[in-house]
Amino acid sequence: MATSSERPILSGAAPGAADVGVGGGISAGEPTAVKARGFWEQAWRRFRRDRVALVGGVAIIVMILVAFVGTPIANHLLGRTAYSLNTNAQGFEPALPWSHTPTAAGTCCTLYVLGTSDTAGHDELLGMMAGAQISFEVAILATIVGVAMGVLLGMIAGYYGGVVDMLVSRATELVMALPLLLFAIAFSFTVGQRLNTYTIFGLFAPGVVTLVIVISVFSWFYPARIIRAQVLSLREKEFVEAARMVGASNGRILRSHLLPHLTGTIIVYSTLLVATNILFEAGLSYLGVGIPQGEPSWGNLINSAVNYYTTIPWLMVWPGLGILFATLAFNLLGDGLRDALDPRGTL
Amino acid sequence: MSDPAAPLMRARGVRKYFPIKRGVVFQREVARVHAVDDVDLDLMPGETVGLVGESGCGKSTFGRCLIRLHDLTDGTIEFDGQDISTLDRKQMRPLRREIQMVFQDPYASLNPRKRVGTIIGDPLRIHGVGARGDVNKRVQELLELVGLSPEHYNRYPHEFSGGQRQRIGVARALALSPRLIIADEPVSALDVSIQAQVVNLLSDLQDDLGLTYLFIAHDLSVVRHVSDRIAVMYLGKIVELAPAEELYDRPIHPYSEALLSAVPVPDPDVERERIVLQGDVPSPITPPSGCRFHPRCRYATDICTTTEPPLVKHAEQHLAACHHPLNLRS
Repeated sequence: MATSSERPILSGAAPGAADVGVGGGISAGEPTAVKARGFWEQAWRRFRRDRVALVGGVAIIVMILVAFVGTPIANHLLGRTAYSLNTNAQGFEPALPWSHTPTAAGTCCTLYVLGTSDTAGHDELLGMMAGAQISFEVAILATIVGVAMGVLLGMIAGYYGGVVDMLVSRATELVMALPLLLFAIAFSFTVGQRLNTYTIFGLFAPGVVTLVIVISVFSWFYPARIIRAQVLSLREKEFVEAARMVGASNGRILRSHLLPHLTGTIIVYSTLLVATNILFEAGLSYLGVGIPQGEPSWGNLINSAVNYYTTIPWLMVWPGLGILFATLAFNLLGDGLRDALDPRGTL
Repeated sequence: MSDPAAPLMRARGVRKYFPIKRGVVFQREVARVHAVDDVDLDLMPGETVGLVGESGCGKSTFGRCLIRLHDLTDGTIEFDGQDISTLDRKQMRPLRREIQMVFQDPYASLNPRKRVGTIIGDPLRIHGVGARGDVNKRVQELLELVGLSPEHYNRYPHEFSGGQRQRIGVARALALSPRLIIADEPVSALDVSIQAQVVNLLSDLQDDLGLTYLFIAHDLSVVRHVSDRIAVMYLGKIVELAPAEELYDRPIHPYSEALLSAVPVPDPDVERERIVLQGDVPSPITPPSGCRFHPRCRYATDICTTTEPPLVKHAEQHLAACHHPLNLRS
């Protein structure tokens, strides 16, 4: 092959520099970079104007702070955790909200802001806060894992097409056809029991790893389909052809030419999926196949509150409100992001 | 380096058929689109060959075959004496430095999420040309070369006009200092006033850098301006190949004659015969028998429906495929 790199390629000045608006001071030496407003900057400008979405975003940040920073602080102030029992708070019924009860050690008095969640003397408020930790951990981790699987499979299926596409698409349809809840319950009962002991060196509460696996296994197919459809249309774009023309590898095209066009969809879908997963986690825990009984989680709190619904109905309301606000906040944020990331939106 | 008399690129019997498939699980081929059907073409070093024809005649497909963006159904393509028609993606990569393409739509061929500097610098990074700091410098040189401000490397494509974007596309094609550029309707998407600027840019670059062009277009007046030789394509075949002026003065093929009569003349007083072709371009799925142009040809006779005319030499450097050649000097 003849070598071309030795040839001087940049001879002479710019021919026909006619339709360039900016003249003056053209020297390749020290050009002052003209800063352009990029895609993310524009999206942020649109997002900033969306009050409702901002409220959702702030609410999520506050809830996460309360769950992960507030819980240890509250534990420290009250001198107990969500797991602490208090025989003095035990009775035929859970303690009422704002009840001052002698501590387990017998000294007076410790405050149960929302009462206790059961007759064993578990603190409802601390349970809610620890439960929020678990809920967010499960929902966010499962979303990341599920969406990552979906995006990977969807991109591969959409880009390569042919047999690969057929295999992935059929697998997607197969998983979609499965009765989700039934399989999740079966999985949790069988494999889940063994997985519950894995806490990754105590980082997560028992059952979190199980739920992340169960939920992500059943949530990759929607993103896979969405991403596949987008890649199908993107790969026919001329700039992809141009990338192949300059010799970019498939991996490079997928990573650096297609993925940036998918990030908007991925972010929006993930945000909405987190909300769904919070509900799903609570549902599975409520059914007794999620977070093991005895661990504080919103689903478990509702489950134990069922025993007292005739006399102390608000025990169901607190975790219910937690789930409501968390899912609402993520949904509002997701809707706002969808509008903000849509390039057709006005500035 | 190669012998100047040898063609830089030699295409022989190039065919590209696109299968039409039916079926949900097991797709079977029910028909084929004969996009490019047995095309021979030589590109000599330093020349510009214009490739004209109406929409859907296979011009762009042929151009994409030459650069191996499509795999050939049949035929061979030699670049500088090396057969590149069967190379795989990896083997093809070094040749990407020699052959580049300028795309038709400057709005679609630039990734809207990438800064101009990244778009132009990408070829350099992929092929590992120059160190990291050099890439930026080189990008600015290229921007200057195509007549844009070097400061604009940080901008996004949507901040440029169509003509400026096409200059960016040209800069990208030039980044690896190729020897052959396939320009696929580089000015069709631009305003007439901008077309001239881009065409002039391309020919200035040719003079400075010694490039070879395959200039694909459907606008004959643009092609005439830039081309040394012109190939006329109809329904996947080259029907006439001649030096530019010769084709305009004395077209041999009736299709070329009809095409030329459609070129607007900027003089309202000139009276001339306007040949309006009847009917549409036949489907490339089932091309007509014999001469593919016969259903629309006003000179057609029986032989045209049965026998396919070969591409024969009628004058020096002037080839045409017709049973009833026009304008012959005898």
